[in-house]
Amino acid sequence: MSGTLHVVGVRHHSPACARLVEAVLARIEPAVVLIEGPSDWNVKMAELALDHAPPIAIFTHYLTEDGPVSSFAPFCAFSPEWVALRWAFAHGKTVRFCDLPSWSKAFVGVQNRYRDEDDRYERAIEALCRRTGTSDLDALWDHLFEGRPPEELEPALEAYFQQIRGDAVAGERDAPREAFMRDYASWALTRGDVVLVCGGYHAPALASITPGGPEPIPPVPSLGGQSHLVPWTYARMDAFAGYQAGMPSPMWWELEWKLGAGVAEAMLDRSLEALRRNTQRPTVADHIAVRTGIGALAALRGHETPKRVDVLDGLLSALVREPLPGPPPWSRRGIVTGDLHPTLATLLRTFTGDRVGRLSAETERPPLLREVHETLDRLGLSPPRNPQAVSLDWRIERDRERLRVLHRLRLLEIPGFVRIHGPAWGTDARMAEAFKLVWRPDQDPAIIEASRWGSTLEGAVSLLLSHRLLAAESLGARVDALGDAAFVGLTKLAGEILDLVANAVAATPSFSALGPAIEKLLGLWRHGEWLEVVGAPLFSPVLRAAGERSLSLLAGIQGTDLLPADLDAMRSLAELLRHGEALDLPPDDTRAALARRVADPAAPAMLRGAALGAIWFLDTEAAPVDSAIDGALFASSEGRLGDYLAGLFALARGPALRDDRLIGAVDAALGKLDDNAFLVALPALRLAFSWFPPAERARIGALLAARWGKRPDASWIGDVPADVLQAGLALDARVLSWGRALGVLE
Amino acid sequence: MKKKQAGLQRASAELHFKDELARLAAEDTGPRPPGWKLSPRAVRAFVLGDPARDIKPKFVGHSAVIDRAMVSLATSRGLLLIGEPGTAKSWLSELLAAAISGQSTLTVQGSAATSEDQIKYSWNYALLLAEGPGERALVPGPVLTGMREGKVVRFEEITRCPAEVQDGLLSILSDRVLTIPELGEQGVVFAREGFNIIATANTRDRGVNEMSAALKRRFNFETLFPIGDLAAEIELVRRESTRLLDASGVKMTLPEPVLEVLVTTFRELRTGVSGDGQPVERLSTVLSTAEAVSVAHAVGVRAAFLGDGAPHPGDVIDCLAGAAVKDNAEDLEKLRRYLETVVSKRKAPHWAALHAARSRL
Repeated sequence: MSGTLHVVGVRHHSPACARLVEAVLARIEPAVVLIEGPSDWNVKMAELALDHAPPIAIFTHYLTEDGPVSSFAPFCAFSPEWVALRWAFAHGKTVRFCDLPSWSKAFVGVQNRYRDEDDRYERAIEALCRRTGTSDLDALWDHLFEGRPPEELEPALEAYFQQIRGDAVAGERDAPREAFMRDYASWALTRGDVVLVCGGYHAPALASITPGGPEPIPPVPSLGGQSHLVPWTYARMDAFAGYQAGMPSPMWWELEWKLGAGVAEAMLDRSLEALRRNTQRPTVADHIAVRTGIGALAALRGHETPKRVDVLDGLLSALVREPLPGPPPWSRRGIVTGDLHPTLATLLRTFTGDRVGRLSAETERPPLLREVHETLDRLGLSPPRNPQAVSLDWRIERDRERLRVLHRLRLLEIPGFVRIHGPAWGTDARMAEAFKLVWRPDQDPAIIEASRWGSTLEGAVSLLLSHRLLAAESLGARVDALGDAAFVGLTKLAGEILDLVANAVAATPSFSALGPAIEKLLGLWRHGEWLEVVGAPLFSPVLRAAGERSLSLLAGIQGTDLLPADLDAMRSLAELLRHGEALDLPPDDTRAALARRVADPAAPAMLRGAALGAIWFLDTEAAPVDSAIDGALFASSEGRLGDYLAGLFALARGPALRDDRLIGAVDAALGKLDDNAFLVALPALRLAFSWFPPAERARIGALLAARWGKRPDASWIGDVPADVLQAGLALDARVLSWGRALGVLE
Repeated sequence: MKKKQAGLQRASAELHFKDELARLAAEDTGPRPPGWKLSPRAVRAFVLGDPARDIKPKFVGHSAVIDRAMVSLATSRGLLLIGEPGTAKSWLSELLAAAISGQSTLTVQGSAATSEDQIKYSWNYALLLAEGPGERALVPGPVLTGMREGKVVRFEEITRCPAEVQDGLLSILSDRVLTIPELGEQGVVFAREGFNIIATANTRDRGVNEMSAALKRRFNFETLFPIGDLAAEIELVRRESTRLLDASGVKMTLPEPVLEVLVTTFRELRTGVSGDGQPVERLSTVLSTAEAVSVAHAVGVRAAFLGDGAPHPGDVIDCLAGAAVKDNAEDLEKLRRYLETVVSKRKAPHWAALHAARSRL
């Protein structure tokens, strides 16, 4: 037995097309209903037959080389596809989705399966718009088709789709999809009459099909993928709000589906009501002007009852009494960008509607959703209807698991779990946190959608962070991702991910940039006990790479000056090298690398001092003070004594005071400077000695006093007359204020 | 419309497009609002063009703009066209008045010096003294004429008028009546059907915020925007500059590369985004399509009378400075940076020529 194929080409989410599908199904009573939709869902078709309240969507996620990808196939009550599904379920007929799964190549870059595909036939649409005096596809479609009874609509639509497809041959995206649909139709025809509901663009390509062949098997995703049902919202459905969406203003179409020609009246009431609530109060005169305007516009455009754009245009014209920041959004397709006049914003929100879909309680819940609910229940963190603040502290052991879970949800961008405050980094002094928990309708959908990252909470954050680490464009972003990993309690990630991150760190071009990265990560690695990440293998490869890269960049620093950030980076590096063995950075090699810079006359004096300081810092027992004296004398001969000492003392001020000979040598060298050279050296010298705390400065003073045969005495300062001190302070202040005025000082 | 009105620098729209209007009127079968010379559909065809009937397009914009404007005029409110300078507000108001009333010359030019008697009526004082107030001594202003004859009156730059003069329109727009107290009982003039007011206002000048709320309520606002589509703007500049050049005695249409360079430059400096999405510094001057037309005109005139007869992309530079840099020296710097950073990256010969001519700035 073989049947006849009836192809119904539709526009997705069009109520007129939904009515047409209803009429065709009632007329043909087919044995099989085929619907353009993801065929991987066919095994779960029974789930779609449960008692759901649309809008809902089939959410598909799958892995690619570049990370997880997701896409949606949304249905609302007035979708032709939904109507076909309900008919088949109600009449117990076979129903199948007959299109390729979302992971097929044909859908690369497609987020919404049921988006409008007008980019393919832009020119034909443009010409039709010009002829009918409509501004875009939406207005054109409404003008031509909506509100027409099925018997008129069927031939009109057929002609329309024939005309816009013209002689176009399916492209590389459409060809495999259409071939798959043909195979499905061929199988279905062996079982009796078939109604196939698909986007109108494909309809002309699905004629004359020979029955036969087995049911096609959808291709499986190469790296894994799944589909689940999610509740959907009108806000996400609206072309004005979203990306690649279908018909704009879903609430308008819902009312059209329910009320037919009464839609304009109902929508006008809702709009005026919404404006009243928003205190954009329309007066009675406004109300009259709106109604007159809408009626006149509909008449002018030849509409028996006002269409969507007539109502919007009428409201705009009569109610907005300011210049608009841009053309009204319904005059062209696409996402609304930039400012909207508040009245228009209210109107568009009303036309969009706030409907949120609901899934049947029997719907299979994806593992991640189950795990999140169980975990939140167990930890007493289930979000309440009224917002509730939760205060937790990392230092309290029983709080830690709860904090980790909350941070995981935060990273996965699940709404309703908002961090109010908390430490910016895992080693901050204050480790108390507060979160605000509240139930939201978009919470469960967001959790289902987060399954694209993984089917367990830990797996999901782990993949998300891996992805963030790989996609990060700066060292800072990578460090932040690792910091987040510490907050969510990941102590390790896949080895190859960390290797790739380490490679990226190893390509950092600037020595100074590595300093803060080392400081932050080393801090967690050494002192992250509250987050329980001390010594975590998560950080070692990156720290090792940062250390190696720092040493190699250090080897190349030339010139005369070193920036303060470089000096900071040097201190971080020395701190890191102290743990060289644990991080697999052989101490002998690093020592040799530092020693090469100490002995390199081409290195900046401050770097030579800092490199020697680093060697002392790493090995305080062996402080070869002679090399420091040599270095200081050489720097003095270049007029860079202050720089050298600033570098040395920044890293090793303790060892420097262990042997008096160094200070003695500095004193002697300074004594040889003439007044001018001394003044030049002074700023750097001040920096050098600023590393010492007051007590150590007093020791240096005592040492010098002894050298000069004097006793240290507080009256040294007292010897200076007060008016000289005051004059000096005033001079300082003036110099500073000039410096600021001229912009040479901060 | 091909026949040029002898000796006139510029003919009004109803004269210039006399043939088209006559043809539309003859074929017009659609319902007309009372007092209108054409049906709204014919007016739309007149303004936006209709290739099937050989009606030339005159205004580039969405049909919805024209629809809303006409509906405002056919109902009980006035129409206020607002927008930046050069968005064809006055042109649209002239086209609408010409099509709806067959006359676009009942016009009040708003300025700080506009007084109420220029709008409504004044007196021939010799006759007033000799005969006393009467019909003979009355000098009707555009609004009184429009009310008596049932025609559309244009009020240009309404926000530049003092507020008390603007408010003189309140009773006219709401009650559709004008009282001339000096004429006693005969002095109450009720507007005939077809009367309405199209006002224009410039968002860069004193804004519509300075209009009284009472007057704002009596107008429907329609904001006009610069042309959104590059090809449409190039086409308009080509058509209009050819017409102006013809009037200047130059038989020439600017070559495509010159037009592309000119219009693209204007658009990018106006919108702050280059064609490939790079940010561009916006100029403080308004670079309207009208301004682009006048620069195109100047480029053509220069080439014909002072140059080798053929306009080059580099010539745009000479005329651009005058149009783009008015009272803000920073604009010149922005223009230079635009040439150095955005234009320099374009390799096509006409863009390279523009870049090469940057020293002429």
